[in-house]
Amino acid sequence: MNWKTCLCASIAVLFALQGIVLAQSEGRSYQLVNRLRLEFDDNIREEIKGEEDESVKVIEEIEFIGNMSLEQTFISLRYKPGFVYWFDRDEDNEDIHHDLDFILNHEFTPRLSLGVKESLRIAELPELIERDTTIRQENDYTYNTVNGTLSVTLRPETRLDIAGRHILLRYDEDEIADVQDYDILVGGLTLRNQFVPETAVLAELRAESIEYENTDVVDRGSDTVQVGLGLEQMFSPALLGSARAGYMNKDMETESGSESSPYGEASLTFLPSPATRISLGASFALMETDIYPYSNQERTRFFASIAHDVTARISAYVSTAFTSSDYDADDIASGAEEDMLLLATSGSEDIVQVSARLAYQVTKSNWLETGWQYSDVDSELRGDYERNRIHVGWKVQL
Amino acid sequence: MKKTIAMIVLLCVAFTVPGVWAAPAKEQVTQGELAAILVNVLGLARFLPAAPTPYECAEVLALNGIQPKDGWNVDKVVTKADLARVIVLAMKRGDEVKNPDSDKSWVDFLASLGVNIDSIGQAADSLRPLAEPVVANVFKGGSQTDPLKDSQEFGEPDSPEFGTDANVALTYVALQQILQEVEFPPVVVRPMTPN
Repeated sequence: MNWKTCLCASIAVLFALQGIVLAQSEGRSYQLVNRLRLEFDDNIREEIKGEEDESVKVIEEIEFIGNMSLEQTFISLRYKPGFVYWFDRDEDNEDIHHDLDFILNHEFTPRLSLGVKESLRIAELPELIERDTTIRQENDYTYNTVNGTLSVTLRPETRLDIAGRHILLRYDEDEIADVQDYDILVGGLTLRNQFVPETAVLAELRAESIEYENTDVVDRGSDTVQVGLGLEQMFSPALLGSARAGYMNKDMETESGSESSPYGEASLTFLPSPATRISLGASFALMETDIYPYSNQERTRFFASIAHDVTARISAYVSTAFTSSDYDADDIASGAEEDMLLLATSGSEDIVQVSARLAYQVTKSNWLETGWQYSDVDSELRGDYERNRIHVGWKVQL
Repeated sequence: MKKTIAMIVLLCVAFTVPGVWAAPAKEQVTQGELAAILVNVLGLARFLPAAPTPYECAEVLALNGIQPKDGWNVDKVVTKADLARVIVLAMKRGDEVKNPDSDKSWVDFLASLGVNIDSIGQAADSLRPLAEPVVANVFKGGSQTDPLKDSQEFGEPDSPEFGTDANVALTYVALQQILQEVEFPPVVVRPMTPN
């Protein structure tokens, strides 16, 4: 499915649902937000030091959110087209992006419910893809993920989730598409038991299949199984925490054939005062990667974010994350060395991301904002770079 | 592998569905259920999995400064005072409540806004979105190890910031929907039941 088909389908869904919502005399909710920003970007192509190009750009986004609540059903649709005008970019001056999110929750009975979540992204010269870990511009792309979960309440304190997910990534340029386009299919079972009001324990089984579109020479696909336990704990009204851990096995078309590893993640949410919210966390797992021709990465990630309401009208947000990925020569897909005349090498890549934002609510419907984003990529497998983006903006809720 | 995954999902559905159709109806609304409603109405659901757990709903609301007096207790039956407090907090007007320690103050404040919670369904069309709820946990999304879950800001081009998203707000109509979910007894603090 190309991006035009996706776009047409999305617009059709948008109008169809709008019609349904309009037909409802009660329970409808719309929101329209316009956001205009002026941003300075000091490394627009994420090039190595000394080869950076900088540009100022104008980013205009208009976001429509429509919610519809029926007796047993909730539907939400969000569509956000974005237009970017670059003042100093040789190839072209404009980018147009489309974001579409669709959510359907339906309660068949008090014990049986269905949740469906669909996200579509169509973008030109994207910056952040591949599960939020890669900060590398590749090419125009279409990304779609649909997730469905059937939840069955077996007993008042016990819930079984049966879930499936499909992820699709398609690049426009054939050269990139040949090595990066993939389909991911995931199935999962989660048994959740709320032992006491503050504590829930989860038993989880996941199966994931990654298939790359072009496997003529090199197949980076893999099949992964995860088995583990999870914990959700409300320590106090001001401290919440969750964790999941287990063991995973990944079968690949590589020299090693398969790899097994523990995986885990943990996060804490701390609310020291009504005006301050803090999140901390860490994770470790085997993941797919966009670095060709590797089939696997061992990814460790730490994050922290703080949101603070300075006054009732002024809010400040700071977030940071550190990601470290290790690549093993044994995880290079079979056939790649002959095809690319590569020497099998191991290596690592570290990424630091920082974001700060200040928002001032001028009136009930108007906000002024300013922000800074920083990325630092230090890689043994591809070019290092640093990037700063600073913006000022105005948001209005129509 | 694809076929195996599809077969497992289908078999699970086939075996579990028949046993639940005759389930008895729930008689009370818990805080966990209220949190799920709020997450939908506030536009926070897109930052969560397709069927979030009560904990995940409570966590994202707490990150936005929205929680009952004693924090979220997912099994506790919602009282009128709990509801009044979380609704006012969702409107980001908690600082305007004169006596935050008093449950009655929260209920009275809602009434002063024209939200008559003793007669649900009355419209106050003049009320507009009042707040800018913010999701500050995007990096957590990016740290997921569960392939069923997603990082929240994946691929959004020119994402204005890694850590925040400011484009969600509560409309009065949405607020009304929450209130229509429940019936309020005249007593200020006591458990309530759905329609």
